[in-house]
Amino acid sequence: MSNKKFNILKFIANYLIILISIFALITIIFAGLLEFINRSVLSGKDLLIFFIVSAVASILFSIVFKLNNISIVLQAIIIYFLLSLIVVLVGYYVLYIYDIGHNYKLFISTIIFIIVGLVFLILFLIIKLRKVNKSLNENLKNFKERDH
Amino acid sequence: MKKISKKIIILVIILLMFMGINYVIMDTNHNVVLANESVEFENFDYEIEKIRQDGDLKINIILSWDTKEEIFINHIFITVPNQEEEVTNIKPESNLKNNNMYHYNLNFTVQNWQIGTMKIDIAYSNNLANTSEEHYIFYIAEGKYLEEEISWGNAIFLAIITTFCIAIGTFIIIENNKKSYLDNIN
Repeated sequence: MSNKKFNILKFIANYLIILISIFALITIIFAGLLEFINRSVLSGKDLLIFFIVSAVASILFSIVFKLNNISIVLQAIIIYFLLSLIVVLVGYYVLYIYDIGHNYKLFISTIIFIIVGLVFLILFLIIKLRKVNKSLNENLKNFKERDH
Repeated sequence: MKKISKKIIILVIILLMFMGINYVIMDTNHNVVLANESVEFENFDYEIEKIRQDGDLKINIILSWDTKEEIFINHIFITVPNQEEEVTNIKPESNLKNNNMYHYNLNFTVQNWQIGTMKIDIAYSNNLANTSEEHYIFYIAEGKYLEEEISWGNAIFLAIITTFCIAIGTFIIIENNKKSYLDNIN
């Protein structure tokens, strides 16, 4: 198999993994929320909308991953932000779960916890990155000392 | 791969947890139709869906039934707790079926209704010349868990679960991208 063909297949496989992950994530969140709040289940139409949204989002994510000049922290923040946006928009426009007028408590709590989660994510990634950098620097230092 | 499988298992556990909670709060008084006896209306059926019109939540009701003779709908009154509403612009779609029955389809939108019992009163006459009105009344009772407004405790609990799921999703996608990036380098 040629290298180009192999790369295309790899890209498609990666795209499908992202698509399935987003689709599973949205379905799990809303299946749970709908059962808890409305005691109803997701319809075929809802699942179809989830699939279309996941497909579009996967394209966006693939573009984000193609940008080599952004750090992993920024990538994670963009992914987290886009996933949150998808969940809130789908909940608002498709399932009517997040509604300022009729269910403001859930809407406000979700927005606040998403922001809190984002702060925790940034802190976690910065600490992890520092730890990795520190370990790399120590290794480099050890190598340099050994050479001398 | 091992890390991703762990996260997927956590997501599945969350889904099962939701299902378990739902089983505990299960309410048997859900979607009960108490239709009165009527010789006119046969195969009566209804469908309710939540819709959004100009930003407001509303309920779209689709009614369907069969009658042996042709009828004319005069009024439809919808009563939900504390409010009464008359449905205007009634245009039932009717067609004669093979078994000499008239089939009717009625589609209308009313205000948002979450709790309590909805009373639907259909006033009709057999023909246009006959002024006497007959009524077909039926009730739809919904369980209290259909109420959209939830307590602060439940809202916070659901928000934490949602945030947790989004965070796990982010890590799954990032880990997968990191793996494919390393594969490309190697």
